[in-house]
Amino acid sequence: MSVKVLMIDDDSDFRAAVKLLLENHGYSVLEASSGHEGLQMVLEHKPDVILCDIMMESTVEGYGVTHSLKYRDEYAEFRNVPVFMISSIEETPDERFPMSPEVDLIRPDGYLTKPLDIQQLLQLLEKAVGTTKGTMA
Amino acid sequence: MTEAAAPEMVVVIDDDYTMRLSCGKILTKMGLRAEIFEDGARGLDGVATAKPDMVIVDLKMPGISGMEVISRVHEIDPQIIIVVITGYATIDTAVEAVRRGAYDFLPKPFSPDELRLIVNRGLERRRLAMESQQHEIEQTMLKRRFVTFVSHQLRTPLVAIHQYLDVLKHLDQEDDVPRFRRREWLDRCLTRIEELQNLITDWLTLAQVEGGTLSKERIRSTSIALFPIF
Repeated sequence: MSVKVLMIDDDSDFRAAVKLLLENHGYSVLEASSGHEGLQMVLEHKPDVILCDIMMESTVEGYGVTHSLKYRDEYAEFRNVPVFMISSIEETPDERFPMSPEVDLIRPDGYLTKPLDIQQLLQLLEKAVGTTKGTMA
Repeated sequence: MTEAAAPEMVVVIDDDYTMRLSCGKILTKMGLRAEIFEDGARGLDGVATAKPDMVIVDLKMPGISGMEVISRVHEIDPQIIIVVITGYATIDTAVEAVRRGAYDFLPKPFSPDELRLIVNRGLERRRLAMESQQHEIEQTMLKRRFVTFVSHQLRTPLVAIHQYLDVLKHLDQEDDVPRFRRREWLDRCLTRIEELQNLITDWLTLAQVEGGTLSKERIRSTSIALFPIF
């Protein structure tokens, strides 16, 4: 069975481009257009890797997703699913929430800048999936 | 006071027992929190711990002088309002104190009303200063958010176009993009370029509105669809 990648991004063009790319490389790709929808899809489809946009016009944006995945009980079984934040603006949680002492609660597994460097993305996914399998075994 | 926060705090430093005690009483009756100290050293410790809004200090005291207290209090927090108490003969010193950063001075002897008046004025000044500082912080944060937002809005269509072209180029080597998909993506790229152009036009219009160089007719006819967040 192919590896399931969940893409959470509010730009459908961006999703379409990355989806076709990844499908051509053997991944199966799930799409969500908001953090809220993304979290629902996690429960329904149990993805192996998550790529998540940071700034979305949604009540649950990027870091809301990582926070839920890492700390809310209903997502406990997905705690080890790697989450990579994607944004056109390089911004770590420390920069976005400079005053928050809880910044560690939303730290993802990595960052990628838009537009995605194709080779970098493919390598990262390969590595991340390997890691997931490693922890599951 | 309109805010529900804790009452403002005033520290009184005076070596004269009756003076500091009666000042403390008057302040407490005004609904303020008051702490009294008998000399500069204890007073400064008190200021460092209590972080008061105001300090009332007698200029003439044994040990650390009132003048010294002014500088040391402002080293702790330059926003603290300082009122100095002076004897009649030392108006010059009072002027010097104000020059050093004291807000105002109270010549001895003074009535409770005079004390109340100067305290109220000083605290009002402090409130205004704090509000304007808060306002400045908010303005800076708003500007930062605005710049982030604008660059995000401008980059989003560019990123989509860039990603389409990158993927097309990448998959083209293997001839993996169906012809209809290729056509569809090129159309989408053109649409997004148009979106970006409209966005830039709108921003420029907005900049003109802010700069006051745009006629009201133009403003009415401009589609401002720029603020999905604000």
